[in-house]
Amino acid sequence: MLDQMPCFHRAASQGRKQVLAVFSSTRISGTTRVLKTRDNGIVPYIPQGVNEYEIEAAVQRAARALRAVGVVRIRHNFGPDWTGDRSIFFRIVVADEVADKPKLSDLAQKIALKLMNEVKTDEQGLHAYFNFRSLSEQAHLNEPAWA
Amino acid sequence: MPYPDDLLEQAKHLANREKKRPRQASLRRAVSTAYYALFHLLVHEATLNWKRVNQRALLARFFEHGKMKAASHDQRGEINAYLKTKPAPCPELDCARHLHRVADTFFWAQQQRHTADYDNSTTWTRTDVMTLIDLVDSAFRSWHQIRDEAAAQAYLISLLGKPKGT
Repeated sequence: MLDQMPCFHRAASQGRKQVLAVFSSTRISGTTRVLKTRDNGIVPYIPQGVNEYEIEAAVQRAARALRAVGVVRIRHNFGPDWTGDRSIFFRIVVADEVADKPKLSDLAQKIALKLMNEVKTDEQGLHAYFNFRSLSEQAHLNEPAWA
Repeated sequence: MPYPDDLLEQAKHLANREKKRPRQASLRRAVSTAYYALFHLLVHEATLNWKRVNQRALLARFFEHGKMKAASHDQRGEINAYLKTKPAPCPELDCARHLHRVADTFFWAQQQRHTADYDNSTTWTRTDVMTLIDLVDSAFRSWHQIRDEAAAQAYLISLLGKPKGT
């Protein structure tokens, strides 16, 4: 039924062409090998109009200012959030003694406010999101994105 | 409000279920449950304004995550603009701060919930999850402080989407 609809057929055809443009297969020694002709996997997403160097400097300024409250380091990357809006995702490593405290929300809000003000996320049209982990949690997980 | 309160209590339980090494499943469900605790709190509060009690559950199903996110973003922006005017201490300022906490937490928690439910490449830690739960807990308390204020009630209506002509 859907295949009989011209618009669906056209979209499906275009989709197949795109797939063929990205992947082409060759036969080598009797086996099929898939050649990937494009790879944007390592190209970082930087939203238009955003100065990455200015933002990095602002993040480091905020990190220095927040050292006194237990922030060890801050990393970030850009990307769309779940609704596709331009966003910046902050990864904040805090000292173990800070993470062990029962009231984390006050500190989280203080860190978030400082970062949003320094980076001027609203002015840049960026939605800001924050994730936190302790130094010992990161030592255990050893994730490069948080290092 | 037993259901949202129960969800929040369940989120805390899940986040602390394994004492030493928390399972990713427990942490992910804790994040999702914390978000839904706040989601259902706000939807429940909004539907309380509907006179016909037997239709409230149906009305609740008209709330959409995306529209609630947009409304919370706008609400946060309006309050930020107000706070930048450095208003003198007054009841309106207190209300604005509480409402900011609710809208901001909702906005943040929704993205966390989406990541927790759909992005298996993200590794969660107890610190991350407990931070979110504590924020939601704090948003609950803020909401109870301002639930009868006009600004809070206007926020509830805005969660349904933007009115025509705006």
